[in-house]
This record gives sequence, structure tokens and C-alpha cells, in this order.
Amino acid sequence: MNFSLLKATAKSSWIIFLIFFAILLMYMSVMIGMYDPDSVEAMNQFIDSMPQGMMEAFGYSDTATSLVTFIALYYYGFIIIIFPLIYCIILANRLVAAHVDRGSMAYLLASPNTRVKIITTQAFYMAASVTLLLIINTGSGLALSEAMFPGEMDISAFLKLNLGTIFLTLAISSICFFSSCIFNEAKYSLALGGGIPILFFVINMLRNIGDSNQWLKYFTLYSLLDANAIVTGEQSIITLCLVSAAIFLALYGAGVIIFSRRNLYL
Amino acid sequence: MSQYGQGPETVRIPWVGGKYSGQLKNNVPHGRGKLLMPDGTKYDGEWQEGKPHGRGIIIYANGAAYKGEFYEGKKHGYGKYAQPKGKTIKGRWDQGKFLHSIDELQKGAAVPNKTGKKEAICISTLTFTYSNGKGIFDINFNVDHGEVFGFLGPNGAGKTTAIRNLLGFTKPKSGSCTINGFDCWDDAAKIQSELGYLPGEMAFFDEMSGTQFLNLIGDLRGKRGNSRRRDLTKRFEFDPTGKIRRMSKGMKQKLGIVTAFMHDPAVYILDEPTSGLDPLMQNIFVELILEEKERGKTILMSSHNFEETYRTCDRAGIIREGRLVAVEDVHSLKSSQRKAYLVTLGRKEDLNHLRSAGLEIGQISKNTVEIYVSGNYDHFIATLARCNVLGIEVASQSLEQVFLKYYGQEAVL
Repeated sequence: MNFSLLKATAKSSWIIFLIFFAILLMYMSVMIGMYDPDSVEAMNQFIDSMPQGMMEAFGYSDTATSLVTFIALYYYGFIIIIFPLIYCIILANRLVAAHVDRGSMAYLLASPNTRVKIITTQAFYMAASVTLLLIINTGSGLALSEAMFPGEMDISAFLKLNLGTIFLTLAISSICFFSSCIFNEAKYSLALGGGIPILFFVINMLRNIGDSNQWLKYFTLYSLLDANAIVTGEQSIITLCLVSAAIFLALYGAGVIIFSRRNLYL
Repeated sequence: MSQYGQGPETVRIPWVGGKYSGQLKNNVPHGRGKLLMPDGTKYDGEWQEGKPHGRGIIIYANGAAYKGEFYEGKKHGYGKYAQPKGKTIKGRWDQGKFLHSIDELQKGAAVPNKTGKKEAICISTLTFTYSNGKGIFDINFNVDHGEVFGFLGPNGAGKTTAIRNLLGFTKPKSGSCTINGFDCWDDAAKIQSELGYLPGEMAFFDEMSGTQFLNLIGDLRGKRGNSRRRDLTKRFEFDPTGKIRRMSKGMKQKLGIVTAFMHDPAVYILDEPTSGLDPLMQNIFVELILEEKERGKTILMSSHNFEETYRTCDRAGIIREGRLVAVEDVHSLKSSQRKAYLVTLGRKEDLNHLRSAGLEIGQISKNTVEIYVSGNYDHFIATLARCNVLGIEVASQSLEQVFLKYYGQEAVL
């Protein structure tokens, strides 16, 4: 880790962090604001009235009865997947592949810091900023729900759901980071690092449509995060966390090792 | 000099008790001036905010003298120190402390050296190939401590490929290269604190300002080198405060030069350092190189311009299609240089005269002929003296044309 580089990276990337936080916050406040203990029934009726397949694709398959299940359904089924995913793709590309593609990596490596040191600094920023984004989002979700509906939120279920989300997003970020480390050109890094998570996302949408597509769950990481089952206690997050942690460690580790040993045409 | 007060003025400096005559700013010495201390110590040179700063000479009361660079009142940078009884040391000081002599630097003893190799840069049987079959093949040459080595070749000949291996960006397919005895691949990070690198491609952190970038690089090195950085920006008339994205090509090249030189390393690797610089700045750059050479630094610079190499380098290697075709003293290269002159003739029959004299004649248009000369200037001039010459111009040439001997006729055609 090199703190000067960390500082410079943070300085050049904090605005992206802020934008994604603002998006997540906006949706969070809209979703919580839409919750009305009396009109949950009305909302559920609206969902039922829409073409079933379309709503299911977005994960809105069940009907919600409490604030935490409502949020799990409408926020953790779609928004918490897609926006952090885009954040990971953009950030991973900026942190490594863009520097290699442009050639500015030459200046970082022409300093008395080993490649391992440079790349672990970028890896640390990646993982830490993703984690921080979701922790702040969790905090603001709790604050918003307490402000609007005091005492309505099942806090422990909400925290469990968010912990699972953080682990899963870190696993997704490791795919983006790994591909950013292994290519000389940013376009290939984007194609692999963006392509695989987006494919997971699309498969997950298809999986949600009807029970006959359930076999697709073996082809997407996102099937590990069944928000509704987690908040109702039907599913523990242990499997999700273990699998995500394994992917995270393997891909970040491999990214660092490959980057520090490969040829760089700077 | 209008920023300084009217000088010379003589004032007593209360805190040292000496007599100062020279330029002032805000009532303290600033600019050029002389100081005489009560004990007989004399300083003559540049000042900044009341302290010797820049170049100057100090003669101590005991007869010892130092001529060289100062920074905030202390010996800092390069200079000569003469002891009261004759012996003189040329060397490098840091914050008033003697670091090492130029001799030591030239022998390579001043910087950490892993194997104690005599040469600063060693390249032995270095081969690196790309997937398309291009690359460099079996390159061998050494650069001694204190030597300036030119790496000549046209674009695409493999100069940058060799430099990538020296910087540890790529791993040699076979062979090896070392800098100060450290292997360029295995010990890449250890080499960097004594290495100044100027990449051939200008790619910085676009969203930063020049100052922010220089600060970042300084911090990454753990050495900001502020005084040298200020000197360099002043010398190249470079304003680093703007955003890098908005800088012109020349400005970016200056930023690269300041980055490579500001930490005052022992070895420089410069990839086409003058590209993007106007002729005036090229001259300033050449001066900087000659000054660094004087200081005992080792420099490897690539170029596709022989004139520039000739002005700065001791030896040069010529690379062609990935292979080193010659490593020679620049003076002997100069003699094998083949120059082209465009001569405009007044009479038709002069052409026959030139032909019969055995001069090598190229393209002819109307009454202007291109004549190639390599070394045999006397004959060239004697022949022309018998013709009606209306004008002579030096034709601009590519490196392949200059070194036809090494590149062969087919490279030119």
C-alpha cells in the first residue's frame, strides 16, 4: 500500500462515488417514501395487475407486508444490484486498465514502489470504496426509515440483508478488478469485467420469470441474494458470504499476482 | 530583474553583522549581491529572501572556498570545494553535507550497486519479441558511469522495446539487463530511486494539474526535490499550475522532463526527449544534458536525430529492425555520416563536370542537384569551385539516409 497513491486515487475518483451514492440515496428515499402500511395492499394489487412476467423479471414476484420485506422486494431485488454493478465496472477500469492503456502507469511503476505495492493500493481502494458505498447506503436507509416510519423497520433483518449485499457486491467487484489487471487495452478489460457481471444480471432477470427457469440460478451469482428469503429468515446468508468471500479472495489475489508478473507495454 | 530592488545598495545585515552590497527585495538581499563578514568570510552570488540561494562563491576566513550551488543558505547541489592548502574536490552536497565526489559518481561508487559492476547500464544478449514477430534480438551494449549514450534508430526499430526492458515493464525472452548491478526485471523497484525516466509517450493523469502531478510523483519517490523542481520549471519557462489535459504537446514534454530530472538521480533513461520541444527549448535541453554529464551522471537517450545525439553523447548505438548494427564513438559516426547538399548550378555543362569528378549525385530537378558527401569535403569543395554555383542548401535527411552504411540502400528506397 502506498498512501500518496491512495490519496491521489481517492481525489480523482470521489466524484463518481458521490454520484452513485446520490443515485442509491434517491431511490432509497423514494422507495421508503412509497411504503404506506395502509396502502401496501394497494401497491400489491397494482403489482398483481401488471403482466406477471414483466414484474417478475425485476424481482417483484412476491407481495410485501412489512417495511423490511417491502424494501427487500423493491430495492434489494433490482436497484442494489444494478447501480453498484455499474460503479464496480467504471471504477475497476479507471484504477488499473485505463492507466495501462493510456501509459500513465509508467509513471507509477517508475517510482521506487514494487508493482505489488501499486496494485494492492488500487485493489484496496476498489474494495474499500465499494464497501463504504454500501455501508453508507445501509446507514441512510436506516435513518430514512426511522425518520419516516419510526419503529417500523426490522433492523436486524435489514442489517443481515445489507451484509449479504456487501459480500455479494465485493465478489462482483473482484471480477471487474481481475479483468482490469490482465489486459493491456481498456476495451478488453471492459468487455470481460463488464460483460460477465451484466450477463449474471440478465440471467438473474430471466430466472425470475416463472419457476421453469429456476435451473438458471446455477449460472448467476445474483441468485445467492434472495432478498425476500433473507429478511423473512427462510434463508441464512452464510452460504452467500462464504462463496462471495472465496471469489473475492481468489480473484483479487489472482489479479495482483498476474499484474505484477506480466509484460506491460507502457 | 525589475522584480528586484534598485541595486547595488550597501546595507548592514543585523543578524549576521556583515556588509552586503547588491540587490534587495523588501529590504533583504534578493537577486545578486556580495556579502563581507567581519571575520573575512566573503560570499558573492545569488540570494533569495536573505540567504545565499542559487549559484555563488564563498571564500571562508581560513582560505577554503566553495563555488557552486546553494539552497537556502547551505551548500546544496553540485560544486567545487577548495581546501586552504590546494586540494580541490568536485562533488555533490545535500543541505550543507558533503555527499560524494564526481569521481565517485563516475566510478559508480556513489550509488548503491548490487554486484559492483563497473558499468551503470549493462545489456547482454537481450531478446524480446512481440507476438507479431517484431522485437529486439540479441542486443549487447554497456553504458559506463558518467557516460552519455545515444540510442539511434528510426521509428519502430526497437528503441522503446529495449527501454521497456530496462524499466522492468517487460521481461526479456532471453538475456538480461542491469542498472547499477540490479536486474531490471527482478529488482525494478530498487533501481527507480536513482533513475530518471522520460517515457516516449506523453501520458499523465489528465485530471490533475501539473503541480499536483509533480507532487504525486515526488511523494511516490519519497523525495519531492522542490529546489531542483523550481530550477527546472524556471529554466524551461514552464508553468505547471494548469490542468494537464489543457497542456500543449510541448508543455507536456516539459512536464515529463521536470518529472524525470527533479529527484536528481544518478542514471537517466530518456526516450526521444526533445520531441515536441521547439528549437529554443531543444537547446536548453541540450545544455541540461551537458550539465548533468559534467556532474558525472549516466544518461541513455534514444533519438532519431543524429545531430542532437552528436551534440550530447559520447557514444551511440545504432539499431535497425531490432538488431544493434553499430556501437561507436560519436566522432567516428560523424565521419561516416553521409550528408546531402542541394546545389543549384548556373550552367548546364557543370552537371557533366560534377559527374566526371566522381561525386555521388542523386536526384536532379531542373538545375538543382543533390550531392552526397561523406568525409571527402575537400574534393567536394574543389569540384564546386570550378562550377558556377548559384546556391547551396543542406537537404534534410532521415536517419537511414545519414547512415546508409548501416541501413543499406534498400532502407532508403
